[in-house]
Amino acid sequence: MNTGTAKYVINVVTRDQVGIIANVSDALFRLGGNLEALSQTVVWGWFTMIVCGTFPEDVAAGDIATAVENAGDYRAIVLPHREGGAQAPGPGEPFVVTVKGDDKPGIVRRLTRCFSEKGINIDDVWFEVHDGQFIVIFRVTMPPAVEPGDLRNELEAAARELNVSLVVRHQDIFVATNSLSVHTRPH
Amino acid sequence: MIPTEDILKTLEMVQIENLDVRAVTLGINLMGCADGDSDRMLHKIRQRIHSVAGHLVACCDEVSAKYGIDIVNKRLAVSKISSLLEAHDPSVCLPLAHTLDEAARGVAVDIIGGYTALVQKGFSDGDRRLIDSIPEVLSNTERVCASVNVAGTKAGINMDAVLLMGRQIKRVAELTADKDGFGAAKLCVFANIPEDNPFMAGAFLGPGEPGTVVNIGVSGPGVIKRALERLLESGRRVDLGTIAEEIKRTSFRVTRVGELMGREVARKLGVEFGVVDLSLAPTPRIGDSVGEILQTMGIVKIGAPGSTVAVAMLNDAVKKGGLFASSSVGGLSGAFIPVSEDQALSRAVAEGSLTLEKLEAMTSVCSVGLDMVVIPGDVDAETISAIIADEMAIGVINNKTTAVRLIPAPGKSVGEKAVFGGLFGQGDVVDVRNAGTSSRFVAYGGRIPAPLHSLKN
Repeated sequence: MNTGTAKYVINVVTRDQVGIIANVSDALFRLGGNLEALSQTVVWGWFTMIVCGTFPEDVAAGDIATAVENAGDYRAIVLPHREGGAQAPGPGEPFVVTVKGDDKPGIVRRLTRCFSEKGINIDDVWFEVHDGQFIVIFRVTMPPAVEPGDLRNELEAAARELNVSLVVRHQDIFVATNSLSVHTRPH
Repeated sequence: MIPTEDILKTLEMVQIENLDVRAVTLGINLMGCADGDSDRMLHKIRQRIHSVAGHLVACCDEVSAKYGIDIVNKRLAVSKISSLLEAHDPSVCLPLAHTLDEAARGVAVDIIGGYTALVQKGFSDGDRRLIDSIPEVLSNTERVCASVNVAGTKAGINMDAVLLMGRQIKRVAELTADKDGFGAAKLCVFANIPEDNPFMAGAFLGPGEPGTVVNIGVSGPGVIKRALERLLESGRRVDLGTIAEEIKRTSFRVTRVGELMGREVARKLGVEFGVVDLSLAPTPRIGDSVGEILQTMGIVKIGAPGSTVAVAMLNDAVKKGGLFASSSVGGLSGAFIPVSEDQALSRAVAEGSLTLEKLEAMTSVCSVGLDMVVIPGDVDAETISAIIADEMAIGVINNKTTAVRLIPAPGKSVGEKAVFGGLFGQGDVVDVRNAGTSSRFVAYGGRIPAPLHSLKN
């Protein structure tokens, strides 16, 4: 941490509309903040973003939350950032797991339990239900200790119980068919 | 991070549009097995194939599982067997072919190519022995494929070999009459045969190739057809340039799959990676047809005027997309039109819209020649030779590979069907017009000289 400054992580949730990032960044600028990372997404018309930034030492988390919430009809959670603490996923091979089928409760719960028990980190997940059919795409990192065939067998057994279709593929096949690179990482 | 829509597009290619790797072909040089003692030579061949290819199928299955994409055919292509026959008498031919057959079976490979002779300028003793043995070999083995190169742009056309091959094709078909002449489906006659072709029946390991090498044949007619359908349904203004562009982009994706998986199989086997063959190879499955691509492009009846230019455009766009996707392209690399293996082409023959003459014209602008064409069983050998000579001329003059794989189905005539099954499909008998009227020309024999390489008009 630099002398005289403090780092914060700010989460903002609101109904999606034009100008949210402009309003929030303006409020943070007025507090003397400097943004260092930002990511946003929209689900079901709900906008959410996570912002990381550095602020003068005399700006407290509550000041930031108040400034953001006063910038519009926004809800904000602000946490102080400290280096370390997060458990970064270890090395492994990137795989993509795709599941399709009739929507019903418990599918994500069942499959993510398989990942968790094997120490497989979910790097990203995309989920959509359309006309009663759902599709979920997990991007995961499979640790070297996990045998891809074993995971595939376990997930396919779970998929049979849930009556959904599931495929496990190495991410490189998607990299090769969609980008100028062939591999996710050089061999 | 790969965008979700790209993941979905790739999944659709694999799950719905029949994207697969059509062939992983392991090339094996057998010259080190040469021995004056035939028993010792056959023993060395068995050992060599087992030691190099023993893990081929397991490696392919492992890579296939990792990427979730089928590798449909795992095959072997050995160095030309005629060289091994130079120091042996003809009685060695069949035992040698049986050895290849059993060795392929032993490593769970369905086809082994390389029962091959290169005779574009003339015959050695080994070449003669091999060609003479082809009918007996192909009718007594299950997995062995034979090929004979009878012409080349720098050599001209060996018409003695052409004449001989017309007879051998007919003889093979007669010896396998109980299977509608299926033996002839395992025999290709070439001009400018490639040394690194992974596709059967013409695969062999050329003399300029590494001792062991993996070559890949990609697939994807279904993927290209669906991409064109999506383009046409999009409501965008589409012209032929747009269609060519879409084929090119899709070919890039298809080739990438072959490149990625082929290199991994080669690495696991500890052998060199050779080439990706960009050929669009159809199968008898509905939706996996080059003919259907032509129909999607607007040629309702395949064989109608416009068919030649459509296949020329398809062939060119496939190459352009594939060449950008892989740094190592070779083999045949073009759109195949194997009639019995492509249900739309097969239907066009049955309906009478696609004739032998139009097929021949189409082969002048695409890969690979008159392929899997069933002709009446009573067509004489000299006429078959004349058909071969015409196709060889297209290859020799245009400096490209052409091939002939004709099946004169014994006892069958126009209006009837020959059924082979599996990837070989089934084919309606194509009419051969003016049969029996070229005999005097082909009977001259000799060698048609190599063509000019300038003044090309």
